[in-house]
Amino acid sequence: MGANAVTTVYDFTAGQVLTAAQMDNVNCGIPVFATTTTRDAAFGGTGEKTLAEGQFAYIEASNTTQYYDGAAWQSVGQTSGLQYITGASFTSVASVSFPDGTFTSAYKAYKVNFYTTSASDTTITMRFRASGSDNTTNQYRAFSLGMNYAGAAVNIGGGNNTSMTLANSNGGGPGLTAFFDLNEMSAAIVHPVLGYCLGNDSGASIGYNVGQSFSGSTAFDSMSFISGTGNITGFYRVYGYSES
Amino acid sequence: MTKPLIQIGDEVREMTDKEHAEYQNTQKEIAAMEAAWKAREAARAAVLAKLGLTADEAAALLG
Repeated sequence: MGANAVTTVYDFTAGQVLTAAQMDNVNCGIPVFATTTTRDAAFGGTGEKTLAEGQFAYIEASNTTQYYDGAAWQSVGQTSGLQYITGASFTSVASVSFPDGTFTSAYKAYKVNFYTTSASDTTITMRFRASGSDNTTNQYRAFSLGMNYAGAAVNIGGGNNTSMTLANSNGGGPGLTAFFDLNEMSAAIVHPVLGYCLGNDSGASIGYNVGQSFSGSTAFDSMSFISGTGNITGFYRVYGYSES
Repeated sequence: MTKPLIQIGDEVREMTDKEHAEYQNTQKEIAAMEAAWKAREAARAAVLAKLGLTADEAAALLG
């Protein structure tokens, strides 16, 4: 039984003299703290409770209710399956990259949403980045299965590429929309890009099962999207798959 | 002459000389790839014409 566990729910009478143990029992509501710093400082001092399993706290700074599991503070309630990491809009640029350090050891898997408007008339390719530079070696491989709206196969395949072709984003159509997953990017392993993409070639929509990879065993902290001709406008979002 | 714009996170700036050289190489590679795609599509259209089939008929045949 932990220090915060109780065996009695008291019912006091008027004028009753309470013992310290009874008052400790009463003093078990959720205390409110300004920050996690003031929370941590509130336990274990002279006249203060010893922090123990089952203790709750409310943190004003984050508007969260937490409980102590005996080793660490945990948030009450469900944690979102996807954690937002970064995102930005871009307008008339030739290439766009996630910030350095987007991919870290905090997540095993990532979800990326990339979008360009119909004004972006180009083929878009991707590269992984590390320490502020694109990796331009010919270790990218393509195995994307595509089909246009007429039912004709429009596949993207090949090895020894210096970038990964995502799709065309030609004018007159809906632009380009892609959702894909990445694996443990901060580890020096082979990294696939697996997902879906709707592109557009000369007004003909093409859907892809996106399959690309970097065949070298390399760690990366970002990636880039590069326009083949002209500029692109749109946005991107990066999420990490929650570990719990 | 100004170089193309690059955006990293929220920062938008002109490409450096190194980035611009890489970008020009990438553009050439993409152009070559697109040319290969178009050649493949032209070859496919030529075969269909030889067979007297439309794209829809070929899709029905192979689908």
